[in-house]
Amino acid sequence: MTKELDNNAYLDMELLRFTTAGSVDDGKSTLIGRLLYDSKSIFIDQYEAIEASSKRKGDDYVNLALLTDGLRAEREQGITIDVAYRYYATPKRKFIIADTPGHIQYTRNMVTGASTANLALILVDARKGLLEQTQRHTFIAALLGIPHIVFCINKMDLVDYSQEVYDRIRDEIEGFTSKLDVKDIQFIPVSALIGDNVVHKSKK
Amino acid sequence: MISYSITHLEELEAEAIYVLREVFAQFENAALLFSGGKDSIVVSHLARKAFWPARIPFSLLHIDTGHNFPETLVFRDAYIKKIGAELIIGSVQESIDKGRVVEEKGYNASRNVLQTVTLLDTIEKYKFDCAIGGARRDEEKARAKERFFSHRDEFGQWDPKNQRPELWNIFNGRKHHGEHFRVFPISNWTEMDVWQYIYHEKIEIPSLYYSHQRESFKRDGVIMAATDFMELKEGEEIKVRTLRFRTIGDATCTGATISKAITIEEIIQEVAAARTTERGTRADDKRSEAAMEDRKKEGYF
Repeated sequence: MTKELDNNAYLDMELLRFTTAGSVDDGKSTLIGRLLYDSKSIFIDQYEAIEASSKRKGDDYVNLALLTDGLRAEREQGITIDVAYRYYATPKRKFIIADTPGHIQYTRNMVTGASTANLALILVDARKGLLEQTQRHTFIAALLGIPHIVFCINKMDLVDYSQEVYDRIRDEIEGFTSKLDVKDIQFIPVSALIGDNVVHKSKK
Repeated sequence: MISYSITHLEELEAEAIYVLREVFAQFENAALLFSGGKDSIVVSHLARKAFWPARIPFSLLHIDTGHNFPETLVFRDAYIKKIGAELIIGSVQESIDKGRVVEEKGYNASRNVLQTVTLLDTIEKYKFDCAIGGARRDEEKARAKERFFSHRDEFGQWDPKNQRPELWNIFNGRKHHGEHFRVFPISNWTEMDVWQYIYHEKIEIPSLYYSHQRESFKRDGVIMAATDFMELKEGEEIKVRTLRFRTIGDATCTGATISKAITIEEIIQEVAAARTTERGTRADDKRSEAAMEDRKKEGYF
């Protein structure tokens, strides 16, 4: 009987498609890696594979971005070239994540990934604030008609979790987005590398 | 207003059926790659639904390495008869006999890589302009990068650094003469989705997926079925184990898992609890970090 119930619960789930966006090195792939890792959606063999290749590259931590950077050229250069899709589920929902590239010459691949999304997570480096590419991606997300946008102010650990920095970036973004037609905009301070405010609520 | 919502499985099904109809609309001569594994069975099931009550408007294409599990072939032939489709077989043995490829030697020899040449030759011979496959993005990191409509040049090569934009539900199948496309209708499905769908739609699958007794041996931590095509190394011994297969490919590179699951519900529970990916048992992916990408660039599916 419980088996039957489990299956039905699974069959009743909704699907959410979301995308990441933002400038180069703002931590899009790392955020997704962190999301998958902390929600326990990474399989042992996948984790072992990225652990081994992080070690080979001489990193002293496990580089979670390698989870989505699946192409040889991406791993060699440490950048994302094309969209990668990842899948995970919570007891209530199924998720399809599109991890998109930040480089300006790969913007077309970002558009491919963003076109099917209902939610965009736009990353902003807390040290750098709103960059040209962040604005471009935000504008594209608005053009594509993505109804929900969440700005993740990332790398908060590098600015000592400063409320002042967060507020300043937030004001800057609100000034920019006031001209755009987006239904719902939210802001979250995070640290993808450490995992603060990604799956687990920050204690800072 | 009446609220309208569909479950994720219905959404995935609708997406796959849309893609299959799009293939029929855009290509003249498409083939559906059919290995007898669960993914290709699900794709053919979706194709039947997409064109029902007409028959599937594609030929089914099986690339036969000659190293099959007999159960898969029995299933394949019965299935083809049931749905009344045309089956085309591309034989790797034939490619070897013709000298198109050279068989690998040694203990881990596999015909998996050789399939690519046979597949491309068969596509050229029958002038297919599109091959539909059951590959999923959650299987492997290079597959996670591929478009639904994936362009192949005249040599069958994939260029991962120069893929076409693919916006919303607009699929671009334009190509030059001699080029073809690979199309993956169940790109967005996960292993769990496939099993749930099989359960939900009561789709028949080969007996290999259910728990059974089989002679097997361990190599590099993976349980392999004992077959005539595999040479044993020293120290490897054949034992009868109770096992099942999570994925079915060539018998020389598909590992089994110890399992007692004899119904789809039990398999689903097992998949839900699994801590490794299904391709964790596939020796063909473990050859190097970019094994899949390299094979795909050459024309593998």
